[in-house]
Amino acid sequence: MERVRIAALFVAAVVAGLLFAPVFGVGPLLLAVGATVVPAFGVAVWLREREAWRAVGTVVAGLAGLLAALRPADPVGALVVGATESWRSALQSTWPVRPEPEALVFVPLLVLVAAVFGVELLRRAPLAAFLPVLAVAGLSQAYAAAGWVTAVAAVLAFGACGAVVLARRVPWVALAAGLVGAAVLGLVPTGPALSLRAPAGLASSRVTSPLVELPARLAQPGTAVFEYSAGSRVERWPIAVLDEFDGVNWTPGVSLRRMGTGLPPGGGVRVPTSSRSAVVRLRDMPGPWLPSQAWPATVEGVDPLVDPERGTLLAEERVGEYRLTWWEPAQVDGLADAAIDPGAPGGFGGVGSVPPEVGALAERAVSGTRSSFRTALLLERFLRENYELVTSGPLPVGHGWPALERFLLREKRGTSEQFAAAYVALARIRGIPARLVVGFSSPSEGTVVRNGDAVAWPEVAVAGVGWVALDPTGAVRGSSDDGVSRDTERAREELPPVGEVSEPPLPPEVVPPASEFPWAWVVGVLLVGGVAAVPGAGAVRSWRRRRVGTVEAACAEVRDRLRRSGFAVTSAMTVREWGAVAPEGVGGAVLRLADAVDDGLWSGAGVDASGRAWEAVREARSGLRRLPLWVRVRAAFRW
Amino acid sequence: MTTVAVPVSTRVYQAIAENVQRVVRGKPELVRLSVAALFAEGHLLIEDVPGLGKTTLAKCLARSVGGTWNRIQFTPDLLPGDITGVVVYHQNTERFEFHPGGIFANVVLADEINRGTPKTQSALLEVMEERRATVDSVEHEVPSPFLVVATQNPIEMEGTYRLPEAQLDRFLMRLSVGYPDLASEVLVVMSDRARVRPEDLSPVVDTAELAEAIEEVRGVHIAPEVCEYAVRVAVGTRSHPAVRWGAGPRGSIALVRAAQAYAATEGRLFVRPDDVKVVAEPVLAHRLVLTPDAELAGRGAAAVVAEVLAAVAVPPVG
Repeated sequence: MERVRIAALFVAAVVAGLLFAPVFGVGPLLLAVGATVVPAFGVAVWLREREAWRAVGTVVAGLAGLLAALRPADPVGALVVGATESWRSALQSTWPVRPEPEALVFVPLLVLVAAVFGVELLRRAPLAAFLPVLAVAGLSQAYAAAGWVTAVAAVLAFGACGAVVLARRVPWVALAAGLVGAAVLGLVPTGPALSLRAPAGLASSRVTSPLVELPARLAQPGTAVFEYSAGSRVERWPIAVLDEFDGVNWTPGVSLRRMGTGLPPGGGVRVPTSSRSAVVRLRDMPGPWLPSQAWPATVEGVDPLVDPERGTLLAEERVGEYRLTWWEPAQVDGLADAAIDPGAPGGFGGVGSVPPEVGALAERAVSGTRSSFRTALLLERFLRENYELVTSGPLPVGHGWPALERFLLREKRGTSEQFAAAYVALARIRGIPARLVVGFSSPSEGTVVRNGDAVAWPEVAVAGVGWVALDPTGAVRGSSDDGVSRDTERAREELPPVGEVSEPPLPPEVVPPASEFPWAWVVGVLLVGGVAAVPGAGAVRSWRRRRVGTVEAACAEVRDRLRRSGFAVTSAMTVREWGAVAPEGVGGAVLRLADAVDDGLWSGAGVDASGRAWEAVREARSGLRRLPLWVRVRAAFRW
Repeated sequence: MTTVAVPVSTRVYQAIAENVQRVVRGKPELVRLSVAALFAEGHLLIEDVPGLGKTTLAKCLARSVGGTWNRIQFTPDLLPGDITGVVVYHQNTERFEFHPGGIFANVVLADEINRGTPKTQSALLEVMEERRATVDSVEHEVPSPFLVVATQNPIEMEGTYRLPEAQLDRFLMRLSVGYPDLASEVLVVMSDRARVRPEDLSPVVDTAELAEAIEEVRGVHIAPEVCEYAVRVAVGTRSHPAVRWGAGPRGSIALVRAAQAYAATEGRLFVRPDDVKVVAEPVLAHRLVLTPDAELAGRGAAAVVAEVLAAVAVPPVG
């Protein structure tokens, strides 16, 4: 039995460790935890009678199993980092975290420690033996709160393990209370506010704005920056997203994390998406920015930092080659009539002090229409038709309001830097969420991207689609493989002439999708189940006693029925004394039960009196049924 | 037609109880406990205020059993030798001869035992426990069966000496007679008028029958759970906050033996938890030494035993 109890404790520890699955994924976690726990369990069982060596032996076996499974280059270093740093790096990474020993090892270590402490406490205080395991489970919830299904499953597993450890009887009441509690907790919406992860993450890196480097790059157009190989032409390669503008400087609002094993498509996207990939080889790109895409999915060959909301990638060390996989919308129907997304992060990152004439210009540029994607395209057309792109000779520089005022109101010629900055500023003035992106456009021929391909462009946030790149210069060649680019071009063609611009149609009212999960049913079932649980549990208990059929079970049945009916029956009373407090019509049955107890239990004659005892139970039950209705109803709901 | 053999102990109990109750009216439970003490080979301390029939009960018990009985009236000038006996030099034979004291009888009635000095009371210690008296380094066995029935008056302080704890612990039970109810008291008065006195009772069982009943009581079955319950009750007195010294293992043994004897008086040859509860207060209360605070607060040992009984779970706990 001791082996089974130790096994139950280890199983509970593994369950607690697997609650970290949202952080690391189930596969890597199962391998690491399993490799640690299996040898540790074997040694714990082997040394269960040798208290002096049990803990040490279990720890050594668990660590050996862990190192054998993960095979880190520096085993001691991996364990030290695992014990001191990996908990933090897991919080600083996107999830699932890359399954590297240094990041993963703290979970199997926690599981091992919890199991070892639990085994040491098992004989002294069986319930306390679960405290270390529950502490690990609690820590996992601080990382990522489990959904209700997981929570209920975990409580079931812990309850089953607890029942095995306690052995003498199954704690049904605690189990039922735990289930209901877990289900209720599962209904509470969880989010970053409940997680340790929210305040974590790497501090914003001290990085220079690539927008400042743009003129210098354009001055040396022939220098190769990077080369890529992909199945088809990639229209743009964003480097940095600049969404903060104070009137003078555009700054990237980065919030960086370590790149995990992968990222999902951007939040709020309701159009079909597909994935593409490319291998990028850097040539003259000192960093820290790496060519990326709006929604990077995976990055192989380098361990970068990523801003999950903006898609920007940074490398702390010099990078040679890496494979980038990214998500992009496959097809966007009705983009011309799409609504903007005013809640997009960074979409209204400031415009500083707007010169008064620029405000009037912005209104004129969109013919005073309400903000929508069509309005964004009108603004784009306004810049394309009224302003000139400079690609040679002395290039205008600057992206603050003095340079933009000069560009918009007087000289009306500039580089993509002024076009993009002016567009974003004007769009924000007109209530369109926009941001400025610096990167490279693909060369018309070949796959080697040079300094001359450096470009800045604006992006506007479209509801359900995400950020859509626009080109106010009209110089970037679109890609037929890019669904959004193709649909944007189609929307441009649908724009009415300048004199016929009318108010764009109201966007269809977004009806929040009906919740697929039948919450009302769940709540209803929980309520009904909760109300019915007490009489139901009492009925189950009675049934189990009848199945056991012993004299002792008969006594317990009569005792509980008398108690529930409000009669003061204590554990210090003999069965005959119950008869004295039992109501009229029941006392006789109780005394017959007492006779059966005498014959069956105390006489030593080996008489089987269970039949008479249960006959007395039936008589007592029948007598209690004659009590007033309200007493019987109250008795049914007493525990 | 089948006949069920009546246990010897039951027959002996019925005979003694019927005989005693010709004089002691309205106290059947007191008589039952008294006979139970006799069956358990334990000594009996009857304690109550004067005039309730302590001595009468003791006399009736003594007279109902055949064999010898002595009465020792404890007074302050009583000497240990008066109890155990003395060795006297006989000039005629020129030898020392042992003259047995009052203790050498099957039933010894120690009347008003607390009027004897502690030195004299202590003379009973050895014989009550070991059934023999040592005089001048010579051991003298007392007859078997041997029963000391002592009486004492708890309310008089002048000229009395409180029984030491070691002495109290030798008594299997301490019983209080209590006032009779009205009907019983009428019967007592009428019996007195009819001159029905203890001295008129004849022995109804001989020592051989009594010895057989005692042997049968020793074999009364007690289930391990009931035995454990009895011990839990005795142990429970040790941790009670009002108790300075609780019942020791001798108390646990006495509780089980008294329960066996009580079961036998009811015609049962097995013990049930009810028996333990019935004899718990007579067997345990006089063995408890309460804390000064509890004594000042007027808490009695009987109340403490009742609290322990109300706290210890009775088998089967199911």
